Order: sequence, then C-alpha cells, then structure tokens
Amino acid sequence: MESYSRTVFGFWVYLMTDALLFATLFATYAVLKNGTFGGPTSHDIYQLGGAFKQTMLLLFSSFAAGLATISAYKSQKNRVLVWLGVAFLLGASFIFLELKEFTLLVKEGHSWKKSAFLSSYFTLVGTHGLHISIGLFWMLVLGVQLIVQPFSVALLRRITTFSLYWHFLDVIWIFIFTIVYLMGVAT
Amino acid sequence: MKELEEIEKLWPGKLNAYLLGLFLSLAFTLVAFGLVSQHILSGSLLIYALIGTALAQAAAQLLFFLHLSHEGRPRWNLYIFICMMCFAAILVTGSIWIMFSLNDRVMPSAQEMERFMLENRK
Repeated sequence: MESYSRTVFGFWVYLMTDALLFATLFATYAVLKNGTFGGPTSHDIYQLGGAFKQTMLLLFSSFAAGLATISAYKSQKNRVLVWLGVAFLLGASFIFLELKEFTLLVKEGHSWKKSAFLSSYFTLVGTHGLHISIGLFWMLVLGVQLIVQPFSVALLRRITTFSLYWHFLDVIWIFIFTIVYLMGVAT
Repeated sequence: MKELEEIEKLWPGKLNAYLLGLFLSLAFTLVAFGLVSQHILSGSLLIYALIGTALAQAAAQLLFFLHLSHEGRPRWNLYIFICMMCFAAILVTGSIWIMFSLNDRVMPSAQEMERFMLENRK
C-alpha cells in the first residue's frame, strides 16, 4: 500500500515536470512561429483532416487505456489485455499518421532545417510523438507481463502509472491540436 | 492478496466518469474543429474560443480520466498540479511577452528583417 501510493505519486510529479518540458516547447513554438525565413508558413503546410484523425485516434486510445485500468482494478486479466491491445493499435495508427505527415513534409523540402518555424514545429510535435512511441513500447512490455505473471499489486501499479501517462499525453495533444494545427490554419 | 483488494477498493475510477469524459472531449473537439473548418468565427474571437475549448477539454480529461478531484487530503497531486500550472504560465506568457516586446523595440519589423536576411543569404 505504502509503496503503491508512493510510486503513483512520484509518477504524477514526473508527469508535471514533463508538462513543463512541453510548456517550454510551446513557448518556443509561439515565439518562432513567424520566423519562416522565406519558407512555407503554418497556413501552407498543415492538413487539418489528418490532425483531426490523429486527435480522434488518440482520444479513443486514451479511453481504451481507461477501460483497461477499470478492468485491472477488478482483476479481470483478459479484459485488460484486450483493451490494452485496442489502445496499442489506435496509438500505433496515430504514430503512423504522424510519421507519414513528417516524411511528406521532408520530401517536399520542408524539413526542420528550412526555418526556425519548422524547427520548433518538428521539435514540439516530435517530442510528443517520441513520448507516444515510448508508451507503445511500455504497452508491449505490460502485455507480456500480464501474460506470464500472476496478477499482483506490482502489476496493478504499472497499469495505473501507464494509464496516467497515456491520459496525460492526450491532454498534451489537445493543446498541440489547438495551438499548432487549428490556430496555424486559422491565422 | 489482502493488499491487492484494499488498493482495488480505494481506486476512484468508474465507467460512467470515463464515458462522460469521452463525450465531453468529443464535443469540445468537434466544436473547435467546426469553428475553424466552417469559418464560423475569425480574428481574436476565434483564438479565445479555441483556447476556451482546449482548456475545457483538458479540465474534463483531468477530472474524468486522471481523477484529479478524487484524492484524499492532503491533496498533494492537486498542489503539485497547481504549482506546475503557475510555472507553465510564467514560462509561456513571460517568453512570449519578452520576445515580442524585444521584436517591437529593438529589431526592424519582421518583414524588413527577413528581406535583409534573404538578401544576404550567401
């Protein structure tokens, strides 16, 4: 009990410092957004449809992780595996769309080397994507542990911290979707 | 095993809360997306509306997915969260304020600056 709540609290503190990392990247992006250096502006390169699809994928992935957690707290191992699988597939599709967008931009010559605006864009969205990729790997590890280990407090703790991580990344994505994509297209 | 049951009982997550969180998130996302794609608002009004929907959705997810309102006292998770929000607010508004006021006071306008840089590219 002691070590369970201490770990979950410690993980929450980590998430808050991670939020500060993203706040820094958002501030950088806001400052550099108009530094296009003759390259494309946000208006030229963003595709709202793709970003909207990504938002939906991540929201439902986050929801599936929530359902996995509910099942975990009822010790329903198989259901946890199913919902984690759903969350994994949705998260993987999200990363697939993001990589597709990145490669398209680089192919068209709009890579991070082009301008301060694009550097800050790739850093902000890429850092979030990196977090998602780590989360996907975490889900795989959890899946294996669920299959080979008996259900325990330690397993429950890992699922809890994972669900916090996954929901937190969705909250960060809301701001990327709004500030980067919606505002980038609107202004 | 007893410990496991104890922890399972204390956890606040409920299916209804998750469903409500999902519904609110979908609603706020669709409103924000609709505002931009249907060109309903424009200018600073649109920016405020978008920030509003983003904050509302973040609040919904913090309450219904991350269970921020469900901890017992002392509410350390909430205190750390508020502390983070203060730091983030200072960081973001401070950076934007300082950099844009520097642009206004010190540098030539962004367009002039860019023309100068493009001319001297080699």
